[in-house]
Formats: sequence, C-alpha cells, structure tokens
Amino acid sequence: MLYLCIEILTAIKRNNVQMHATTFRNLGNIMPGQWWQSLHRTMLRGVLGKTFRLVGYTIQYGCIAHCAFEYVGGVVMCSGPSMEPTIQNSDVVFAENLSRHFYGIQRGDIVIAKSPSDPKSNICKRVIGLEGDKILTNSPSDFFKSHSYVPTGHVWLEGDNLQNSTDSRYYGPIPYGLIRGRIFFKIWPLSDFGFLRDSPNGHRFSDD
Amino acid sequence: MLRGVLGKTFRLVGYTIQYGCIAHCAFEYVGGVVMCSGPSMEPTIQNSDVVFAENLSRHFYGIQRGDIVIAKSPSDPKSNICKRVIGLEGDKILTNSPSDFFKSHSYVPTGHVWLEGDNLQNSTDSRYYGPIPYGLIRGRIFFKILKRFSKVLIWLSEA
Repeated sequence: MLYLCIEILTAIKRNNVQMHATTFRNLGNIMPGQWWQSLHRTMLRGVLGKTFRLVGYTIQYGCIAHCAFEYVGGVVMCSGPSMEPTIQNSDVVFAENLSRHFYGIQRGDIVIAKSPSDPKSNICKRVIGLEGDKILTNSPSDFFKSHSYVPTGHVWLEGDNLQNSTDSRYYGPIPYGLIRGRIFFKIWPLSDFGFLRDSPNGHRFSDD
Repeated sequence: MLRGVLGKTFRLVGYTIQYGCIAHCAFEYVGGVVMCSGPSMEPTIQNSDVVFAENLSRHFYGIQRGDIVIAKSPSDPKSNICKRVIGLEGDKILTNSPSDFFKSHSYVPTGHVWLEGDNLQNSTDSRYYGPIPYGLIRGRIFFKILKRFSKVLIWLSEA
C-alpha cells in the first residue's frame, strides 16, 4: 500500500515537471481534462509495469529455488517415532536429492519417499534391501522364517524403531520412483548435530 | 581481458541456469510435448506419435478413470510408461482374461491406481505388475499433435 502511494506521488511529480516544461512552451494550449487523462495513463502504466516486473522476478526466483530444492537438496523436518533413536520427532535434517537422480541409493541409507498409501505425504525410512535382495518378512519371534525377494525397480524400507513403524513389512516393497531424497545430516537438535548413525538393527540386512 | 572473458562466462552461465530452471518448472508444473513409443496403446496412440501432456491434474489430484497418464515404470525407474487409468483406489477390478471360467477380482488399494493399455493383447500393465502408487504418475496426455513423428523425420532426411 505504502509502495503504491509513493508510486503515485512520484508519477504526479514527474507529470508536474513535464507539465511545467510544456506550459512554458505553449501557454494555454492544454485543457485541464487532458491533463487528468495523461496523469491517469502514466500512473496506471507505471503501476502495471512495476507489478509485472515484480511478478516476473517472483516467478524467476521461485523457479530457481524450486530447482535447487529438487535437484540439490534442502532442509526437512521429520515427525513421528518410526526412526527412533536415529531421528527423533521434530528433528530437522538435511536431505540431498542428487543420489536419487544418479541412482546411487544404497542399503543402509535413510531416504524420504512419497507414501505409497497416501500420495500427499512423505515417509522417512531406512533402505534395508535393493532389487533382488532376499528379505526376512516375519517377526523374529515366529517359528517359521518366511522370506521374499525384492522385485526389480523396488526397494524394501524399514524404520529403525521396528515396534512402532509402518513400513514395507506392512505395505510391501515400494517402487524406486517414489524416492525423493536421501537424509545424511542432522541439523537440530544441536546435541545430535552431525552425520547420521548406522542402523541399530544390523541383523535385519539381507545377507544373513 | 581475462576479467572480461570470465565476467562474460559467468553471466552466460547465470542466464543458462536461470532460463533452464524456468523451463524445467514449466515442464514440471504445466506440461510439455512427449513422444510415445510402443504398441501398447494402439489404436489410440500409435508408435512414434507426438502428444501433449499436462502436469496440473497430477498436482491437484484430478486424475480420473479413463485418463491416459504417463507414469514412471514400477519395474524400471529410468523409463516412463503410458497407459490408461482403469480404476482408482477402492475400485473393484477384474484381474483375469475374459476366457477364464472363474472370474477373479481384486480391489485397488488406497493411494494406488490400476493401469491398462488400450491394446490388451500387447500391453504390459497392471495385469502384470499390479496396481501402481499414485505418486509415480507424472502427467496426463490429452492432445495428439503429430501422427507418426518418425515418418516426418524419415521424410525430412530423404529430402
């Protein structure tokens, strides 16, 4: 609003200066009606021009920021108990998106992926198995061990907090295409600042 | 002279990044031109047809039954597939061929869609790899621009 007022005042001042120059040259040739019309036109054009330029800059820098987040990485806040103790509720972490594009996600990486049961939300789990790996799919207390193989183009995700995590043991392996990025660094809380630990459930890896 | 050249290079790189980002966002959020290959959508889309895909429906969750969508392939994340949406989440799908005596059906889980190609005899789709998560859908095809783009290319190279 303030900006608009300043704009109008500058337009009036500019127009006044122009008016003075022309008045000196041809006295009495300019009607008051024309003066108001030209003032309105200049103001409107100035305001419209500035608005378009502002919108243009916003779109430009918005696109650059979006591409930076999409292709390089960004800061993410995780919520939920499924990755404790590695990532607690409301921790702030740094995620990078380059591994996904270069297909460099490996076993043991913590990834952010689109949830297969709800496309609007993201999940944050550890990669336990890549395509072709043999995964134990039952809880350790069962007598009969059952296993399955991860299909091509899919990954098997599990949270670190096995008792309280909805992951591939519930909805099966997810396609690699749903992975958004890889978490590798924790920023907040400062007491836990640094690179993330390995899985506390080492025995779940598929080579056993 | 070196400073001038360096300055010019940086400015060029800066402009390239800027316009590259804007173009990428335009393709990602609005739409773009796509060339389809393969026989699985005949006769609707032939091999080497050029079509126009829009990406707004995906972001506003407006994909409906009967839409032709482009999605990342669930068996190969590097390639895309182009199929028709037969069922949304919660729909009941017949999963056997019409010649089977016993009809078997399944329900599409939440957050998934069931895709089938129009050319049922020659299409690897959800009847083979099951329903795919909605998150794999990239865009919706709604407009055909050029039939048999490869024919145009061949004609141009011969002339």
